[in-house]
Amino acid sequence: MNISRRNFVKYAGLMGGAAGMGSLVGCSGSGSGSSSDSSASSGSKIKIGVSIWSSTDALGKLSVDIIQKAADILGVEVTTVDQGHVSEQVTASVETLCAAGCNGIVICNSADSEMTSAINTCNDNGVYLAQFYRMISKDASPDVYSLAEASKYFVGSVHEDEVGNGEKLIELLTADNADAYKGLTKGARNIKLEAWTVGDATFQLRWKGYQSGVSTWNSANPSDPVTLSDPVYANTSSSEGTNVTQQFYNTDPKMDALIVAGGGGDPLVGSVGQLANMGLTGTIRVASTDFLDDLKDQLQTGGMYCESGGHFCDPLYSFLMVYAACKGNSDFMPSAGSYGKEILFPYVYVSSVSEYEDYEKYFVDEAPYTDDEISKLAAMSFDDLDKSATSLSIEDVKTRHA
Amino acid sequence: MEQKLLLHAEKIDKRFGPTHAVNEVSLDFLEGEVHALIGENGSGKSTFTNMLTGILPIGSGTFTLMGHDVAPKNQVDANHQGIAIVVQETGTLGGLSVADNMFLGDEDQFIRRGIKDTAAMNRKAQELLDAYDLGYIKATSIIDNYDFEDRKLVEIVKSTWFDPAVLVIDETTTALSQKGRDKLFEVMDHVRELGHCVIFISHDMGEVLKMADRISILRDGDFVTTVNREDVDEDQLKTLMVGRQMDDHYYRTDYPDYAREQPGETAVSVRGVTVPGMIDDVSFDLHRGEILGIGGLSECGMHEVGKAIFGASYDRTGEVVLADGTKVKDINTAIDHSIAYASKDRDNESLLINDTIEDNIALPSMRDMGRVLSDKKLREFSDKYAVLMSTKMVSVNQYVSALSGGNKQKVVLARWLGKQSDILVLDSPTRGIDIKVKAAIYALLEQMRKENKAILIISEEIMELLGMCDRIFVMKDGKINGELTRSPELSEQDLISKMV
Amino acid sequence: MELIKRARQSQWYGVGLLLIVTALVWLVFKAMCPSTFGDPDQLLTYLQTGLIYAVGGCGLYFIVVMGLWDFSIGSVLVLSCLMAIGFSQSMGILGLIVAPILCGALLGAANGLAYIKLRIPSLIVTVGLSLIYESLSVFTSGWSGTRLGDAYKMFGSYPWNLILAVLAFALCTFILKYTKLGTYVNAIGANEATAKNMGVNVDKYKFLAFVLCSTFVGIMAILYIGYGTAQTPMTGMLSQSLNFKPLMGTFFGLAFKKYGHPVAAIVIGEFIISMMFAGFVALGMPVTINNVVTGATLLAIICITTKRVKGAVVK
Repeated sequence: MNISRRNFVKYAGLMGGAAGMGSLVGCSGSGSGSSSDSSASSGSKIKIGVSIWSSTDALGKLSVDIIQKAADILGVEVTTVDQGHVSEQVTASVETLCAAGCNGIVICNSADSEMTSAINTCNDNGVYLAQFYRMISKDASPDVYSLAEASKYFVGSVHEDEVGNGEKLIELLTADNADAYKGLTKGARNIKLEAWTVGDATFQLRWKGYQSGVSTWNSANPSDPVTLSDPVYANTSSSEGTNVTQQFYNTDPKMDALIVAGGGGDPLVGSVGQLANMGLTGTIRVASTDFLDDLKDQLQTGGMYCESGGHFCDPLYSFLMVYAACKGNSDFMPSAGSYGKEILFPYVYVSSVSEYEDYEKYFVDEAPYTDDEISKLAAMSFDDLDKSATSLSIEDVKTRHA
Repeated sequence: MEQKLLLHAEKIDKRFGPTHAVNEVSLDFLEGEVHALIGENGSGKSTFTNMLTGILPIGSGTFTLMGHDVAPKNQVDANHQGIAIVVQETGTLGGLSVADNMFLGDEDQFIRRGIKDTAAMNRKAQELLDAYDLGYIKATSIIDNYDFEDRKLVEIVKSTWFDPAVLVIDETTTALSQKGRDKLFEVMDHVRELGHCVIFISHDMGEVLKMADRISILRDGDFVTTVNREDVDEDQLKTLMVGRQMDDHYYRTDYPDYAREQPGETAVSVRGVTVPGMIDDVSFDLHRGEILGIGGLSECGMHEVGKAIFGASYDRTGEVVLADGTKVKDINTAIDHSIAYASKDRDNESLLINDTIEDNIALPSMRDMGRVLSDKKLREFSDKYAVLMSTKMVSVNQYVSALSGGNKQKVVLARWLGKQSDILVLDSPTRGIDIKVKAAIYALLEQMRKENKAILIISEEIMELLGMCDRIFVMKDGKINGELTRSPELSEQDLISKMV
Repeated sequence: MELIKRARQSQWYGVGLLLIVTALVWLVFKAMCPSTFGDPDQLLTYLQTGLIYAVGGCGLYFIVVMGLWDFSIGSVLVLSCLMAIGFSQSMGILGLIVAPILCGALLGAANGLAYIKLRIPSLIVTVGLSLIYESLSVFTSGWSGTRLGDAYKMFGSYPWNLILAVLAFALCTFILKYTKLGTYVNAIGANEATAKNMGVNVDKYKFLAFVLCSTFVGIMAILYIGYGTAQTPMTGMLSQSLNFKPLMGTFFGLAFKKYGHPVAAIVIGEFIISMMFAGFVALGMPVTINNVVTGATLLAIICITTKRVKGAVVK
């Protein structure tokens, strides 16, 4: 059959459009999203949406994996949307997931302001909503906070004490440590700060923590002050991390510590690699959040000094809260007038090889929660769930899996 | 000694939509001659030679060169077949070296195993430039370093170094200084001496008579005649170029007694307007209730005058002043003071091609329709004026790109009708338009003249100027070269004599 | 005046001008932070990142000089980096070098084919395809991992990064000066209709330009992954952010094209940008100021070197 190129392109476009429409229709599943009653107590499969910055970077993948694991155990359907922490895309992701028929959504948003439309959309569609790695700030965003309080669908937030995280890392960096790698026993006094994306909410809190930690030290030790540089941004690229670290050292060879605040892991890899290239491994303390794959080796060789991380179970708890709400568990059903549930999730801090070996055994090689444990978590009351979350640590897993 | 036939054109024909640009023209070109091809704007000369040189595909008919049919696919292909052209516009490409330009499309002679021997190419280019006494032009230099004339000289070398059997010179001389022309004539003589043929297109009758052995005349796409140089003079050539019957079917039929009648109020005064390189110290008044025409050869600068009045001319000095003393310096002022403009380049400067008829008609009037635009109001507005102009359309939501040339021009005029413009500057208003629509446009212009509007027509069509205008300024080389008044005795001759 | 006039006609005028700008930028930052900026060994570090983006800029030059766009280079870079990581594990150095270049060439061919066949603007085609390449990178990372082995980092530092980059620059210069392709991409960019009329097969050379562009991005990937050593797949159009650094170098090349040495202009341009970044770090300036000044400098250089015609349509 002879088709002209013009017609071919036309038909290809039409077919593509039809295929797109078809898959959209197919993906709307049982069509339960249109009902105002989002509870799945009628017996149909619960569908929970995940709105995340990236499902493929180091932390993002771990987060989605643990949610998927729980979903498989509980018979829940999961749909993920990557929004890159771009505000407009964050907002759109909630609309997309509601339109796709989700009964509940767990979201890691970028800025508090996005939660206004997220909550409103969920209110309009009768979809339960909870945050992971995030909490709406009552002080900074009182209007959004009030909206969350007034909502009958906002279940709550699971988040970390990022300020505390920052403070803890400074505490670890500045303290002398005779057990540390031989070039790193002295506490740091000249700390450089490498951030990732300008204005990122998580970074702002961690930064506050670093500054607070420095302030605390300097108050207690006025004759032995610590300096913390202004942040230089490496986005999420290893190459930029390499360059930033190189320039830090070039401009100030007296630096004795580097904080790579975050960025998905690639900037840290680049920074640690660059220090190795410059022959500085084991002379500069490097701290970060989100564990590297080869953290053990780095700790052994002095490439890393300390890391906070291992909080990838945060999304699991957020998911379980929304799941419970969808199941009609009254302990989790939001009521107008209260914010909802808040879980302050702990970081794991690792600053030695043995600590990491434990972490690796209980969090990486084995899962911190077995299938049975997850099933039990899913049926817990909020208080028990909260206790379980906040007590999560290497010791906790050791005890449970002894 | 009788010269042998070198190139024969047999019933060469070409149409562009409704325009029959070349109408079954048959011509003979002999060995060892410079054969001039003359005619007015739009007579078909360039179209004819563009088909010979591969710039345009042949509509129908054949060219036979030295006994073989030729139909080049592009200029380089034409070169390979022994045909070359030096065009009027810039034929070199910026950003490339002189040598690259000279051998563009023909680099294979310097390619060995996929690698271009740039040094060899540069050497050859420089040798050729030196041979033409143009050694000051460096083959390795980027062509942008040279002015238009030098770039044109490079083109001449490019087109002639391989001694083409047929060399077309298409209105090149107008852009050259005397030095450049002398070089060109030298080359033409050389080609002739080799026993080859030069087809020389020029509006300069003096040059034509100096250089040509024989002269062929085209008119409105038709072949008129071929004469020997020694058998004609300039006036006779001009007569042969024109001489068609005036068809008063759609032009004005009135001949006012201008001696007795007072001209209407001055609508626009153009004072000492100069645009470097285009127009020089142009001054005139345009009155209400008159149709003023400006005519000349394509590049005489008249099109720039239209832009100047509309405030669309950059680097302009001088003044364009309206009756109320307002000086027109930009387009917004012109529009706000009721000036309308239709450009010669209709598709690119007068129309939003990929937009609706509605938007095209309503756009300049939107500023008068309040802050919030009503869809309904816009549609009704556009519809009213489109219908008034009898625009052949499906609806005003139709895209202008789908309309014929005539209907596109109707949309342009409808726009300014809608804006209630009092001063209309219309550049080539009936270009590429069929007779029926032309008649309608002329009728509209006559109507508007009676309504006391001021109308300026800039046109390359002599008949149009003679048929419609109360006064005609003829421009030549950027200056006004004569003013003629409408009368039954005014002829094409009178205009041509001032144009060329 | 006569000297300046003669200098203007020299083919090295443009490069000379850029070197003067480089020296000026260096002087300004050196004066502001004498001890922390601009020593010879520091200059080498500035050059290091400049080289990486300049290689990408060279590839992009073939596209942009024709008036086209290729907004897929970020996703091509990511995918090529992952290919380098993966194939280095199975094939060693050979895999590290060949895989990303081949990957780039294939993706470039896909870009070129799509553009030629679909006949829609290159910007739309390449953005659309970049979404596909981003997804491919997710699948690829599952096989390859995201971290380059220690043994394969040689192209991230001297001398191997310099050797590879210089080879790439030489290749680009060679193509531009000594092949028909180099002449034709300029010709098509100058006036496509005239070039076609001269018998240039415009479609063929546009296709080849896309192949070349992404091939150079493949070469850039070897340097990029060698320097950074990790590459996570990027989805949701995040790879678009990687387009712009090479593009800035390309703009320098375009602005200085008329002086005859675009590759030199690209390299020097990227060096200036890299040096400015280092300068701002040395000054302790916030990133916002850094971006404002870098953007303003870029605009200034382009404005000074571009002929702007009054009343011309500029898009």
